[in-house]
Amino acid sequence: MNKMTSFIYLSLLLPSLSMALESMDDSELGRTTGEGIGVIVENLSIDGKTEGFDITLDLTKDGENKLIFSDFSFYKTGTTSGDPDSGGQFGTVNDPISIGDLYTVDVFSGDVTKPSSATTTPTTVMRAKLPGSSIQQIDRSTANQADAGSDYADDLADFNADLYSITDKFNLDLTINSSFPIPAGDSTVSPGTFHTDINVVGLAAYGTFSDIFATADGGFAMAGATGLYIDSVTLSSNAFAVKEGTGGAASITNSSISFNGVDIYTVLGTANQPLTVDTELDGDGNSQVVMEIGHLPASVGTAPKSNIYVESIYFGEQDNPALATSATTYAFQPAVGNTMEIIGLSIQHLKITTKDL
Amino acid sequence: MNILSIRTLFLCFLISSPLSFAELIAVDDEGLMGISGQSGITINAKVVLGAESNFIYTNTSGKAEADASPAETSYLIVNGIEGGLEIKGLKLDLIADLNNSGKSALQWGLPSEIVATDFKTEGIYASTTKSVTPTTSTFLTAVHMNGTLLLPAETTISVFVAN
Repeated sequence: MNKMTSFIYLSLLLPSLSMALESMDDSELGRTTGEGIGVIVENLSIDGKTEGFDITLDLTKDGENKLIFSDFSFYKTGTTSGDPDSGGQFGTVNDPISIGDLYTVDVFSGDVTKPSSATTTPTTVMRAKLPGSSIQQIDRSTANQADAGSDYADDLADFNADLYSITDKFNLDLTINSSFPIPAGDSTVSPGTFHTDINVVGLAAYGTFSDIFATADGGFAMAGATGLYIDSVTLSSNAFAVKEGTGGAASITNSSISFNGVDIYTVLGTANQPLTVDTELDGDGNSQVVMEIGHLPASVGTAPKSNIYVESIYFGEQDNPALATSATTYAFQPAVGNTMEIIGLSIQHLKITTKDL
Repeated sequence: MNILSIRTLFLCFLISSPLSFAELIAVDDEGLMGISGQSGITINAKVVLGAESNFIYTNTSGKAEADASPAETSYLIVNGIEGGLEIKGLKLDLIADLNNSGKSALQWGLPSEIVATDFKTEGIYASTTKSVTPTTSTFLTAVHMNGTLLLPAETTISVFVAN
């Protein structure tokens, strides 16, 4: 009987001893190792062409204006969509898709207008990362290629080795048809359509992460960046099919434009300028959604840069005289190489407010 | 009486033991080849929703719902979800040594087919009320899905604790 009583007392005591969980403050969280959930995807291949799959978005309630997405496929570059060997690797055990890592980040909380105000508040953020998040964009500008010489070739080789050791290249195919009402009084045109094929070859993501946190006066906030390298993107379109037998003008012929060697790195929100999502009242008393990247703090001075490089652009007809740049060369042909560089794009302040809610 | 019960129980053990020795037969190679070695479960599933299904996201500007004023509260409503959605061959397994990393993982084998049969919404609305009304809700778009998505390469998603 005594033993039984002791056992009951011990049972009552144990739960109170085990209730030793305490909340962690920010400094303690700052010492966390960043453990989270890791995810890797193997043999990734999705095929919506073989049996047909489409998603329709009605843009108006009467259903007359539509966007129809079809023939979607996502598969490993160099294979055929729908084949058993068309799957590619996305992430490794050591560099996976990462979800739910907790970090402490110093978020700016001072006066943005004062150069002397550099107050920050240690803030716990939840970080999500794609494989290759630590890989940085290289300077692909023509100026750097000319100046750096073999160093540029080394940087490019390192970038490719790092990126393609943790992910395969993927292709993405998608067809978009838009449908809209016949213009009033026009009997020559069948229900309006605009047809676009999108073919992406050699897609891979790098440097991509997002931090989600809360700010004292801005509510939900996030900071992050996205990097994409694409071997080529081709957009092919044709518009307005003509109704048979109406004698209408010939439909617009197919046209296409290709971007080759596309490298896009964009920063959307930082710890100094987080992207916040909130609501505010408009003049009619309706609640509108506001997305804002606040003013760049004067004490910070320089916002992170976003860069877009396109190695070459190709469109139009082969050797079209109208595009001749000399007796033997033509603009916007593959052989010429029309480089596009958008360098040093930085956001000083961005505010998007809905109007129709 | 107690002694009798214990003896009865002891006798039952003695009697049942020989009965439980089922015959053990060596498995030959042919028999072993018939064993897949796979664990886990495979799921085929189909759901057909009626038009009454809704999804509502409430935005309270970072406040508790009870503390947020009507002006600080708005809703994103996916209204009237209906239609059929079928998955074929979704697998779930536990892996002891993922890619020779020594890590245990929960592994999802994605379905070989995902079939949508007129799976659609009546509309997606931004709204200042929790239900859709002509005066308080703004139509954004409606979504329809039809057809079959194939995953031909036996795609797997492995989930594990990352360092």
